[in-house]
Amino acid sequence: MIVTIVWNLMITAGFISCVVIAAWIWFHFPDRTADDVVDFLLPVDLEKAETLLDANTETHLRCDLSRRDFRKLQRKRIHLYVAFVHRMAHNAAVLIDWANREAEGSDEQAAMLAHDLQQIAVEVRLYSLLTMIKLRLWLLIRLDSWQVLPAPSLYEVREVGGILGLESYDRLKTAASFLFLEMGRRNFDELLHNL
Amino acid sequence: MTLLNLILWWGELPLQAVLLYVLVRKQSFRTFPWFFAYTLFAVTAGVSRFLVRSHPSVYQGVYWTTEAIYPLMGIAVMYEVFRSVFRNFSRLWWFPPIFPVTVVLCLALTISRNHSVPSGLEHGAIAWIIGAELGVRLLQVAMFALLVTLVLLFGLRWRQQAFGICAGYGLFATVALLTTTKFYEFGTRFKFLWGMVSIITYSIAVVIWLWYFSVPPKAELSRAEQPPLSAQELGRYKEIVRRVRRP
Repeated sequence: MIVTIVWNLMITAGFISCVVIAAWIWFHFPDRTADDVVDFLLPVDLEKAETLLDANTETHLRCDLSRRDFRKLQRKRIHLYVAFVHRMAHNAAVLIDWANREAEGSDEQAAMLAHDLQQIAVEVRLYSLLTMIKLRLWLLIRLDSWQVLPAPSLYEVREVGGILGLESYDRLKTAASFLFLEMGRRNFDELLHNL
Repeated sequence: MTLLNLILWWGELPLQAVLLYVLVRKQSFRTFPWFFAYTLFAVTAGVSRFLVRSHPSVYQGVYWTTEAIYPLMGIAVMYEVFRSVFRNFSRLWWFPPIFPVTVVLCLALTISRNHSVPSGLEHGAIAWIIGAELGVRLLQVAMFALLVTLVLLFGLRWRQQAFGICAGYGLFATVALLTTTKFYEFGTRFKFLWGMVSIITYSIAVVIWLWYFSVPPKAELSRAEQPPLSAQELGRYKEIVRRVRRP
């Protein structure tokens, strides 16, 4: 019975994949160039994100606030970090799209930088998606409200799946900047501001 | 055999030969040696089958011998695609075992299914060949679904040849699994229809591969209309980038 279900699920997955990829190719943003990057990015306040993941700050809050208040605040902090991670995931997707295009080009230097950017952007995207799953699960089961368990610590999501999130995002900014420069774009400050 | 039947049954062979020509011309045997070997083998097997089609006993021998090799080549090609797509992930400890584990799971699922839905070919080499083929089809569907997920989640380049190889196999394997399943359910009533559907889908898969391997790489990139940065400007910007980096 289970074998038949799994078997049929595999066939269904195959058909869904065919339909999804056809739809994706049809609706996907066409040929993202360096001109189509800056306006599509969502700014991420890395300093604020760093504060959210800081173990000392969290310990201070835990000590200074009542248990109830800390749990309430922690839930808000988780929501805020989810928002940041969501932006990181979006920006990484935009940059992957752009890097994919540049990597196919004939300019070797640009292709090399694009390849670096791809690699880091995929890392950031992986971190973001895994972190979002983890945090949304915390929010779903309201882990912060369980009195018998300690409130979840945001410090735990500093590294997910072997990837240091903020450090990777920082490298992503650098890699994007180098490729942007290589492409001869001068609105470099706008790129950094929006990343 | 009517002309229509001849075209339908053997029409894929010229297509496969054109693919082989494209692969040789683009020197794709350097980047995808197993896929090249698979195509070369498919053409050789197809020609051999065509030549002996009038001698049933010889044809049967050639058919099953070549069919026995297809699953092995299928696994090798899928591994080649896996390595090509996931080379950036090789640093992560949990990534390399995914392929062998998936192969084992697909084969286990096929064996379990063969036990639960008897095909009437439980014994002998032919049953093993068919079982192995189904296992590889499952693997191809799993790999295709995985790559599509990666395109959606991680922006994997759908224009890369590795994805094209997988897309062709994925489409064909999905239809082949469906027709095989339906064949078990309905028996030989729709034998001709299932056979035709499989052949047409395989031809579409070959067309997909042809497109991926014959489309030339993108032309010169469009650069900014402004002149490139001067060395001084570049130095200044690189200094800014260095400052952006965290200590």
